[in-house]
This record gives sequence, structure tokens and C-alpha cells, in this order.
Amino acid sequence: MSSHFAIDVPNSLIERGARGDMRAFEQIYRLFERPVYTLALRMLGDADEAQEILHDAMLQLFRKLGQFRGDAPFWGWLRQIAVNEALMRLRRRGVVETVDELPEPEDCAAAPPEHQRDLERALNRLPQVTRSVVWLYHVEGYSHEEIAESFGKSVSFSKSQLARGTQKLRALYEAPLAQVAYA
Amino acid sequence: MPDDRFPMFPADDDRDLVAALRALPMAAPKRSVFAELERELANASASAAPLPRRPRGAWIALAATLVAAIAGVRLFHPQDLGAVAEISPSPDTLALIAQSQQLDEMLATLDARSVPIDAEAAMASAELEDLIGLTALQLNAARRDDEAQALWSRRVDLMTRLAATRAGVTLNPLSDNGGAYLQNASYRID
Repeated sequence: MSSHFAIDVPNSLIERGARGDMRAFEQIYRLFERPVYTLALRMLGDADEAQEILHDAMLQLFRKLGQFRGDAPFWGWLRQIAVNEALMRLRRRGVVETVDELPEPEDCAAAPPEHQRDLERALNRLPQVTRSVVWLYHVEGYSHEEIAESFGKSVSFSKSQLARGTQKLRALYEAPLAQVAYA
Repeated sequence: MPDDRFPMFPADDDRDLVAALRALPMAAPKRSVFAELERELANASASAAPLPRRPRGAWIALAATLVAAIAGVRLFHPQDLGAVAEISPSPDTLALIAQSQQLDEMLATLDARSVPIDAEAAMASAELEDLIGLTALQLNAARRDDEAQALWSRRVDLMTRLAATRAGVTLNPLSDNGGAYLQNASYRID
């Protein structure tokens, strides 16, 4: 499991949180602050919005903690809250409904590749919905069925976004490398 | 049936790319939002959550409460703000402390006027005083500014409601728990 969310949380901590214990809330927050923020940042591509999603998702979590039944891992439950919060924001912008062709890559900067930074930059150049599908599938380990359900779309939508998104990501990521190689 | 239109991922060509994606480090927010969350949750619970229901026998305390409320009650204060002094309060916390002190003075003035209040308001007053006392105890144990700020915010909220109750202003027409424990005069305790 590659997800940063995959953290085992003791039942006693969840129970204390469900009773309104603020210190338990804080421990849960500290455990999941960065996974939630990172997921939101990858989906929305904007640090300020990711910060807002972190706030909103955690608030939702704390309000709903008493409803957690324990029939699935706690981290998966929280992750779905964060995904839903991010998707709500994308829907408000209408980008989920209008997603279609991926834009052609812009002229890639000829800066030397610094792998992680280049990959993040390439990822950020994908459309938000495509990027979200790519991230949820490849990193968070969502299935096509789960992605389709979250987005309210078909499984084919998830597969096509992933296929085209991955192809485009590779092109964007490797373009600077190619330019350097042929320079 | 497998969908042949799209390749299964990660395809061999993409394994490196997927591995690189998974190896990206987690990002960290510019600031923690926990203090905000704590404040919002504390305010929400102070204004919305029902207070614990008092036992039926609590009516016996009513007379004593009435006397105390009419004569004025010294509120439980955090110990000389010592806990806050240890943790370098932020400007927001200092503003809340100043607001709390103003409310202390206002309440002292109201107490000096010894305004008679009815039984229902007296009970609400007693409950608010209990909660203010509890908040003061928590404040003495606070070790971080965000904790202290949430608690000072709660204290200001409770004191505002107490001042309104004592002054006879209707913020909430019933006691803090909706008057759930107040019974009609005809109510019998067996």
C-alpha cells in the first residue's frame, strides 16, 4: 500500500475522539495533517486551497467521528472525507462535468531535470480532474470502480482519464530530459 | 470482462513513473489549522451542546443559588494569568484576555447593583459560573497558546452570556440547557 494515509490508529484514540476529547482530536490531526494536505494539494494543485481542504476535512472528521463504525480502516474513512471535500470544490468549479481533452503540453523549460521537482511540475500541468484520477489510482491505490463512484462517472471515464493522463504525464516529465539529451 | 480499450496500469513502461510518483515526499501546510479547529469546535459546543441535566433534587440548591446570585458571586479566575504568561500569548489571545477582564469589571458592576433576578435566570447564572470555573481550571493547565486562546474565547463567550443573564437581557430566554431541569410549582418530588 503506497498511500501515506495507511496509518493504524488505536481504537482507544478514536473512542476518546468520539467522546469529544480535544487531545485525542489533536493526536489524530497531527497523524493525518500531511497526508490530507498532500492529497488535497495533488488534486487541486493550489497550496491555499489545499490548506482550506485540510481545515474542512478535519472539521468534518471531528463532527462525524461518533458515526465511525469501524467496519473499514479509519484512515480509509478519513481519506474518503478528504477526497469528497476536494471533489466538491472541483464540482463547484464545473471542471468535473466539463472534463474532456487534455491540453497539449506547453513549451517545456530546458532546465536540468531535478526529478521530484520536475515530476511535481509535470503533475501540476495536468488538468485537475485528470491529475486527481492519476493520483488516486497510482498513489492512493483506488480502483477504477472507486474512482468512478467518487466522481459520479463511469468506469470507462476513470480508465480513459488514467490512460491519457499517465501518457501525458510521462511526456511532460520526460520532455526536459529529452531536450537535455539532444542538446 | 476486461476493457481492452485501455491498458492495465501500471504498464511496464510506466512502472518507473508510478514509482517516482509514489516516492514524492509529502507536502506540509504553511501552518497548522488545529488551533482554528479547536476554537470552532469549542465555540460550537459552548453554544449548541446541551448542558448535563441536573438531578431532580437540585431544586434544593435553588434557594442558595438565588441568594448567591442576588448578592453577587466572585467568579473563579485563572490563577493570576500565570499559565498564559508562561506560554507567550499571541496578540489574539491577549485581546481575548483584555475582553475577559472588561467583562469581569462589567459583572462586578452588575453584582454591586444587586439586581434581583428570577429563579430561572439564577439557575442559568449558576450553570454559567460552573462552566466559567471549569474553563479557568483548564486555562491553568494550558501549556500552549492555541489551547489558551480557545479557552479564553470560551471564557469570553460564557461571561458575555452571564453578563446578559445578570442584566436581564435575553440572549437565551431560558437557562443554558433550555430550562430542562426547572419544574412547575406543582411538580412533586416523591
